[in-house]
Amino acid sequence: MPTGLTRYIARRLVLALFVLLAVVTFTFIVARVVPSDPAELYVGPKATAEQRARASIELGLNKPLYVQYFNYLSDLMSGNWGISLRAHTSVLGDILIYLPATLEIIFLANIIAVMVGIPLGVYSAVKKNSILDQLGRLTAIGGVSIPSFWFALLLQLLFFGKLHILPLEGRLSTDVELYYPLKSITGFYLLDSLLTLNFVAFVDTLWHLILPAVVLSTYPIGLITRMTRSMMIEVLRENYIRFARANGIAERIIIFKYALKNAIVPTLTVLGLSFAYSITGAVLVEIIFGWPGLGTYTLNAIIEGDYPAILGVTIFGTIFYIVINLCLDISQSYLDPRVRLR
Amino acid sequence: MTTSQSLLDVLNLKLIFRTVEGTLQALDDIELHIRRGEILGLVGETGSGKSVTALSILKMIPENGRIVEGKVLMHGNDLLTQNDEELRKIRGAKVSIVFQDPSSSLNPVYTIRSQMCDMLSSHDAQVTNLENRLDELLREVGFQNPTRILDSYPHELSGGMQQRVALAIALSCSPELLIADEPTTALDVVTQAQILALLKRIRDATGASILLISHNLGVVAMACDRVAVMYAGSIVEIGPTDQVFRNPAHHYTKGLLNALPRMAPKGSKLPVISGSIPSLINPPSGCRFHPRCPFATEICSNERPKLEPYRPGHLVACYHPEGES
Amino acid sequence: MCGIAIIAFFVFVAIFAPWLAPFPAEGAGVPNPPNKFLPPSFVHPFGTDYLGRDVLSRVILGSQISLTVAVSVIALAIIIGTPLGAVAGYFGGRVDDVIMRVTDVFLSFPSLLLAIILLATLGPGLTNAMISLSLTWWPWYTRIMRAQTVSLRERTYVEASKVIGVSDFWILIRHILPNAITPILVQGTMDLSSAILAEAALSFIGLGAQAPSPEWGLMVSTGRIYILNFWWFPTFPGLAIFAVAVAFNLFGDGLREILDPKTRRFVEA
Repeated sequence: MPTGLTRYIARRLVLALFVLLAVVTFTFIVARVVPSDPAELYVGPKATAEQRARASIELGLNKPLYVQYFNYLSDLMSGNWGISLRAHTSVLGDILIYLPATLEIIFLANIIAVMVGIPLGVYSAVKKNSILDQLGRLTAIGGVSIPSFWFALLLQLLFFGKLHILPLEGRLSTDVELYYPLKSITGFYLLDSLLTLNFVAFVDTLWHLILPAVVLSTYPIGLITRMTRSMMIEVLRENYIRFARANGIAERIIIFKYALKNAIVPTLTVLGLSFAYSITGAVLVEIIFGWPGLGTYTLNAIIEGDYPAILGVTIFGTIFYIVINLCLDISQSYLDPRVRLR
Repeated sequence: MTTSQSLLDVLNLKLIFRTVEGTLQALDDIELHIRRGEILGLVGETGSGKSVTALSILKMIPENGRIVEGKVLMHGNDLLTQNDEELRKIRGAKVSIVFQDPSSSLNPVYTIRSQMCDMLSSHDAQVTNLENRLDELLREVGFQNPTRILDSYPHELSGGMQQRVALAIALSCSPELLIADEPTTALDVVTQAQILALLKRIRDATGASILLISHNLGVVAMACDRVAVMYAGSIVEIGPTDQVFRNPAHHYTKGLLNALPRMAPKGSKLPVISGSIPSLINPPSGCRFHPRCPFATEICSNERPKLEPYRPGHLVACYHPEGES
Repeated sequence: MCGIAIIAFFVFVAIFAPWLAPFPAEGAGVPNPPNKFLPPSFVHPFGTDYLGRDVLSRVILGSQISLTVAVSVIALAIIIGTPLGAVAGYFGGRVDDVIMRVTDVFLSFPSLLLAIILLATLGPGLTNAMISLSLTWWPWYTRIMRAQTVSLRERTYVEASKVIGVSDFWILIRHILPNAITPILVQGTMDLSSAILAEAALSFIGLGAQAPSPEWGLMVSTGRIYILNFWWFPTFPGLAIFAVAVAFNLFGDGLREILDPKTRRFVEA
C-alpha cells in the first residue's frame, strides 16, 4: 500500500460514517419534525382517522423527540424501513428488488460516458481549434444542456418509430420472455443471461439497454468532456510539462502519462457528480422506457403519495451516493499523492 | 563568425511576440557563440530577453511568439529548421535545460524514479543496469542516499534537492550543452552556492558547456568563465567575466555594477541608472540604451551598434565605450 | 457571444409573451377541442396539442415560467448561500465548522432526491418546487464563497482595515464581497441552465407545475404518450428547454473566459 494511503482511507471512512449519520438525522427532521402531522404523511390522504391514530402510535409520535430519533435509527439499521402504502410490502425489500435494473443502466451509462468523454476531452484539448476541438466543446455544452426526458423521446421516435431497429421499452421483449425465459440470479440481466448461457436473452437485453444507457449518459458525457478538456488545457500549461518537453520527453508520454494523470484527478470529482445525476436521471429515463427499476418505483410512489417509499428511496439513494463518493475519493488519493495529506 | 571552439552559435536571432497591445520586439539580432566546455553567463534585468533567448535555442517559444529571423547552429545543423521529431531528440540529448522554480519542474504525481526512467526511455538510452544508472546519476548531483530519493515524490523534497533532481534528469543523457535558466533564484543563498559548485563540477567532469542565465551579478561572478550582458533584447557586451566586471565597456554594464550595494560612507546615495526599461513594443531607435546613456550622441539614436572588439576576447556594442570616445 | 443573443431573445419573448402568442387564451390553457392534433402549419407553426391548444402559444407563455423560476431559484440560492459562506470563511473556528457540516449534509444528497423528498413533505406545486430547488442549491455557493473569503481575508488590505478599526461587517461588504463575486457569478449563470433542467424535470414527474400551466416540462410529460403519432407537441417544448439551457451555458462559458485572466487566449502570432 503506498505511503499514507491506509490512513487516508481510514480517515475518509470515519468521515463518511459521520456524514451518513448527519444525513439520516436530517431525513428524520424532514420526516418527523417538519410536518405538522407526520402520521398523515405515513398513512396517506385516504386513510381513516382510526388508521391515522394507529400510525401515530406506531410511529411513537407521542413519545419525546429523542426517543423517536432513537427508534428511527434502530429501525433503519435493522432493515425496517417502513411499509409501502401501496404494496403493503417492506420498503427496503422492494428497493432491493428494483435495484439491479437501475444499477445496470447507471453503470453502463457512466462507463459509456468515461469511455467517450475522456478521450474526447483529451483530444479536444491537445488539438486545439481542430474539428475534434469543436466536437469536444459542442459535446460538453450540449451534453449538459439536453433535457434527458426529451432526448429519450426523440430517440424513441427515431430508432423505434421511424427506423424500427431498437425496442421501445422494457428490459426484454415479450416473446423472448415467453420462449427464452431468463432465470434471475443476480437481477442483472446481462450477467444472468451469460451465467445461464441464454444468449438470445443476452442479445435482447443488450438491445434494450442501449437507448436508456445512451440517454442517461448524455449529461455525464457533457460533464466529463468539459472537465477533462479544461483540466488538460490547464495542465498542459504547467511548468513540469514545459520541463519535460524542453528536455525531449516523448509527446505521447507527455500527454497520456504526465498530463492526463494530473488532469484526471479533478475529473474524478466530476464523476461523482455525474453519478449523483445518474441516480436522479434514472428516474426520468426509466419512466420513458418503462424500465422496471428504482426510478419507476419512485415515480409510482410519488404519484400515489407513498411517503414511506419516497423516504426509503431518498435514504437509499443518498447512501449509495455517499459510498460512490468515498470510492472516488480513495481513487483520487491513489492517483495523486498530495491528496493523502488533506 | 563560427570558430572550431564553438559548440553552439546563435546568429541574427530576431524574435517577436504578438500581444493585445501590439507587436513586442523581444529579441533584436542576437549573436552568441558558446564554446565547448565553458560556462557562459547571460545577465540582464527582468524583461531583457535572457530567458526567451534560451527558450529559442530549444525552439520552445510560447504560442504568441515567432522567430522572424536567425539561425541556431550546432554541429553544422540549424536547430530552428529541424522538424518536431528531430528537435525532440536533440532536446535532452544534446541540449538540456533546467528552470528557475524546481518545485514546479517536476511532475507532482510521479516518483522521481518514474520521471528519470521516462527521460531515459524517451531518448532510447541503452542502459544495461537501470538501477545502477539511476543511482549513478543521482550521486553525480550530490545525493548520498539515492534510493530514498528515487522512491520519493517531488513535494517530499526540499527546493535544493528538487533542483538537483531536475539537474540529474537534464544530465541523464549526457547533453553537450546545459542551459540553466535562473537555477538558483528560488533557492536560499547557501543552497545557491551548492548548486553553483555542482554546476562547475559537472562541467569539469563531463566537458559539457553551460549557459547560465541570471539577473544576479554575484551568481555569474562566482560561476562563469565568460559573461554576456543583455539589455532590452540585445547583447550589449560579452567577454571574460573578470574583465567585464572589472573593466566594463558598456555604460549599462557600468551602471549595473555601480548600482550594486556596497560598503560606502554614511549618507552616500545608491547610484542608479536614470530612466527605466523601454517598452519593447516601441523600442528606441538605434541603440536601445541611448535615452538613458549620458554619453549618447546622434549616431547612437540612428543606428544600432554591433558587437565590436574592445579588448582581446571582449566585445561591446557601443559607439562610445568606456575609455574611448 | 451567441449565448447572450439567445438569452436576450428568450427574455424578450418572455416579457412580451402575452402579446406575442398568437392564441394567448389557448396558451394559458383554455382548450379548443375541434383543433385537436393539428400538425405544424402556417397558422399553427408548432401544431396543436391533445386539447386543441396552439403549441407555439403555450411554448411562448411557458417561457415566462421557466425563466422566472430559474432566476428565482438561483437568486435565492445565492442569497442564502453567499452570506453563510462569507461568515464561515471569515470567522473560521466553530462557526465555520458548523456551517460547513450543514453544507456537507445537504451536498451529500443527490440534488433531485432531496428536492423530491422536500416536495413530498411540503406538497407539489411550482412555488414549493422553487423553494425545494433553492434548498438543494445554496450549499454550492456557500462553498465557493467560503473558499474565496478564506483566501481573501489573508490579504494585507483586510488586515489594514482591521487595524484601523473597521467593523467586520463593513470589511465583509466592502472588501471581500466585491472580489469574491466573480466565481459566484460564473457559477450562477451556468447553474441557471441546470435550474431550468431541474425544474422541467420536476414538472415532468408531476411535482412541479401543475396542469393546465404551459410549463415546458409539464408539456413534454403530457405529450409523451403521443410521441409516435403526434410528435410535435412534446418535441417543441423540449426543444425550448434545450435551447435556453444551451444559451445559459454558452453565456456562462463566455463569462468565465472574460473574467478569468488565466483562460484568456493570446492573439496567435
